[in-house]
Formats: sequence, C-alpha cells, structure tokens
Amino acid sequence: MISLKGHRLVDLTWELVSRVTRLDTSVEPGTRDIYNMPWIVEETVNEKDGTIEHLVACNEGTVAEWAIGGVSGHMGSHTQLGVRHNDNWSGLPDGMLGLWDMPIGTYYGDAAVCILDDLKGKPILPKHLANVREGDIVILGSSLTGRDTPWLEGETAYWLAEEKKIKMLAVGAPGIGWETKADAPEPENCPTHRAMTGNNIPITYPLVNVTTLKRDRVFFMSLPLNVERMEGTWVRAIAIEEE
Amino acid sequence: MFSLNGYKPVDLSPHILARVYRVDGTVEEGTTDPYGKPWVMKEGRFAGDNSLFTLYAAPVGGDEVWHQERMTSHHGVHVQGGKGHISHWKGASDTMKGLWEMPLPTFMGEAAVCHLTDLAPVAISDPSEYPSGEGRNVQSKPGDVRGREITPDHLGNIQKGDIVLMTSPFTGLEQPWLSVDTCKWLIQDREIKMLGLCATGVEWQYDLKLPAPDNSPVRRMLLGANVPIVHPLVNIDKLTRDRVFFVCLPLRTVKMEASFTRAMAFEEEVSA
Repeated sequence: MISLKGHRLVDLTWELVSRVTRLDTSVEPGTRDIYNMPWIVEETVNEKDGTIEHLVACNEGTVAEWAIGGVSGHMGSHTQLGVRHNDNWSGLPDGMLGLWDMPIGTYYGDAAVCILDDLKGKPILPKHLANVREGDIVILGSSLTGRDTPWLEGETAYWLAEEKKIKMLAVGAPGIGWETKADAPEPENCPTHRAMTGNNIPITYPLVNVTTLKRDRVFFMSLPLNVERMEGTWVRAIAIEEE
Repeated sequence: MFSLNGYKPVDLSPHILARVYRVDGTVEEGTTDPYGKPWVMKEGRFAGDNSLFTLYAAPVGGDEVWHQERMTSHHGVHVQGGKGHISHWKGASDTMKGLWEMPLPTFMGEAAVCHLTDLAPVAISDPSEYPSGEGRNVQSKPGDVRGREITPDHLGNIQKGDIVLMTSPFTGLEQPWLSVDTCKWLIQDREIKMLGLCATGVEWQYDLKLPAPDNSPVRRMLLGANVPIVHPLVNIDKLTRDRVFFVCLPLRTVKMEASFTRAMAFEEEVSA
C-alpha cells in the first residue's frame, strides 16, 4: 500500500479566512485572495439536531462589500476548464470539455516544478521549462512580485499545451503573470486561457508556497468537486515531495 | 516519488448535476445529493474578459427546489469537524478543533473498508436493542425486526490510525447501528483518523433530540475526539479491497465548520 511516509506534504492552497456572521449577529472579518475574492458564511442552526451549519455566501444586496451575494467557484485556489467559462469566445475549437467530463486522473499525478526567480521582469519561454515532460502537470512559481514578475508568453502556453501536451497548468500567484492580452479583442485575447481550455487542459490557481518546494518533480493533486456544470471549482491543492 | 500508478481510482463522491439559471433566462434542471439537497447556481458574465461564471446561490427568496437563496456547506459530500459545528453544545469537549486546525494527513491515508453485508437485521427481544432514530421516537417492540449493533468483532480489519469507510446493504430501521461502546473502541483503541459513511447503510445519527449532553452520541464522541466525519459517500460497496488509500481534503477556508470535498479511494489493481 502506498504511504505518505518519507514524503513531505506541502499545502499549495491559498488560505481564505471566512467572513463569518455569528448567530448573535456579530461579524468576524475575513481575508481575500490575490484577486480580492472573499469567502463569506453565516451561522444557522440545523433544527433537526441542533448543530450549527454555515450558509455559504450572503443574500444579494445585503453585504455592502459583496453585493452580488453568491460566491462563485473562483474564490481562492480553484481549477477551471472551458465549457460554460470561455467557450462563448470566438475562435475556440468545438469539442471543449467541462471539468466534469475529464477523467479524474487529470487532476493528480507527476508534476514538473518550475521556479522562475531568474526571470525578473522577463517572458517565460520554452527554454526556461526544460524539466517539463510530456503529459506532466506543470507548476509555475517565483518569489518575484509587481513589475518584476515573469510572464507566460502566449507562444509558450501553446508550446506547453500542444507540444508538451501537459495535463494541467498550476500557477502560483503572485509570482507568475500567467495571462496576457486580457484586453485584446477576440480571438486575440487571453492566449493562455485559449491554449489550455481549447486543449482541455485545466488551469489551477492562485497557488501559494510553490517556491518552498525543494524538488523539481513532485506529486500534485487538486481534485474538483463532483458537481456537473461548475465551470470552476474550489480545490485543496497539495504537493507531495520526497523528503 | 509518491505515485498512484497501479491504483484504481474509485469516486466515493456522489455526483450532483447543478440546477443552473443561465444568463439567457433558461433554467437547466439538476439533481440532488443522497440526502435530497440540491445544488443551485446562477450564471453571470464577467465584463473584464467576457467569461462566464456561476454563483453558488438560488434566486432571491429561493425557488421550487430550494426554499431560500443560500445553501450550506453540507450540500453534497462534505467533511465536518467539531469546532463551530457542535462546540456550542453543553458538555462538548473544549479541546475540539476546527477542520482548519487539523493537519492535512488527517484527511488522507490508509483506510479500512467495512462493508457489513453479514449484519442482517434480527427480531429484537427488548426495545433497548435499537436506538431511537433520527429525530423521531422509534417505539420498537419485542419481535420487531431491527438492525444489529456493530461491535468490534465486525470490524476486525481496522488497524490503529486508520481512516474507516463503513456501510452495509441495509436501509431504514434495518441498518446496523454504531453504538457508544463501539464508537469508544474506534476512538480509544483503534485511534481512527476519520470516519466515512454513506447516506444509508449505518445508523449513526440517532438520539438527536435527547437533552444535552446525551444527544447525538456518535457525532459528539467522534468530533469531540477530533475525528472528522465525511458523508454522504457512495460506492463504498463497490470497493473490492478491504484496505484502500483514501483522500478527502477540506477546502482551506478558515472558520468553516464543514467543507465541500471530493472523496476518492484508490485501490491496488490486481496483478495479471
């Protein structure tokens, strides 16, 4: 039987402290992820057994700092794919799949760890990703921030997707600028999204602790919820590396 | 390197089809989890890049499948800890932790599969031989056919520190039941790490309305000992090995008393 003995478990998941409304109506503030996404809950009593359960999110228009009410699957670390997310964009191929259509093995396996601290303010090119093997999950990270952050060129994203046929792209943020041309008109916009979701390669982000990984190959896992029609789902992303 | 090569994944998470309110005004019907809870979502469009997203929320005021706008962290398969969930109960352990305070290996590792097919129900001779049921006062009489108490004798494959996955083919009042004594044995003798259960198969949610501290003894004991409970699982009966590698990681959402999860078993494939 496989075992975690002799391995180090590294949590790559962004920690979100819930904004909690307690039964007594007091509110405990929470934290947000790098994209300013919160996690909001409110206590309620399950009358069947007197336990407390959390209602997830808030009612529309009731919390000033989150007027939309509901939370999407894109809060904190999450994985996403194309169907009902960006398959409405022009120029993407037919036959794109949803997260729920993919074999579960898509979401775990051998991963190449690419720490790109040497690329201060530079584009990430295939030559910088020499440890990526065909079929890998690819984890990108750096300790750089702001204008020093290296960015994933569109051509490199297509190289990963179509030449290296990677299984999943997992990105640390801050640290990596993984998308470009967000404001460009379709079909020139967002080449990383297009390269990945157009080739049925899930994207998992924002991750943390990538630069604490000591090995350049690890086992990675980020399982989506088993809810069909979610274009993105919250995940707990972990790496398991040899000690 | 750690690897799951040679292991067959078995999905223990019930599949739910979300009910979705699309931006074009259409509604796609969904399904429910094994307890009958739906998963309702509202689609939106992100103006920044014209991508679509869905919110975990029903329409304002609810709809015909869910009575209010918000759903809970207990829809679909979820893992629960004690802090924030039962820590307000009289007599609850003051050393109880929240899910977010437990080390990650709590939620993954070797698991004993206990498929209790041999525990066929029997006619009881005394009403005390079966618990009083989920929120109802079951008035058992001598001669009624009821599920049997699960005892350590039935759980011989559980090793110290295991995760335990438990089910049976029996339903309703014929489900075998987890007693206080057996629960104590699981915690103190076997030092189990987590308990996973299907929606039916094992009666563990009983005495819910007794005055504290006698209410919900199984939940109280397990969570009080920092043994998380994951449910409702499916497919435990499909596992072909009595030991598997099990994973059900909670989200990293501090202060949440329970978390959505994806529960998976990995069992060694039979060599040719």
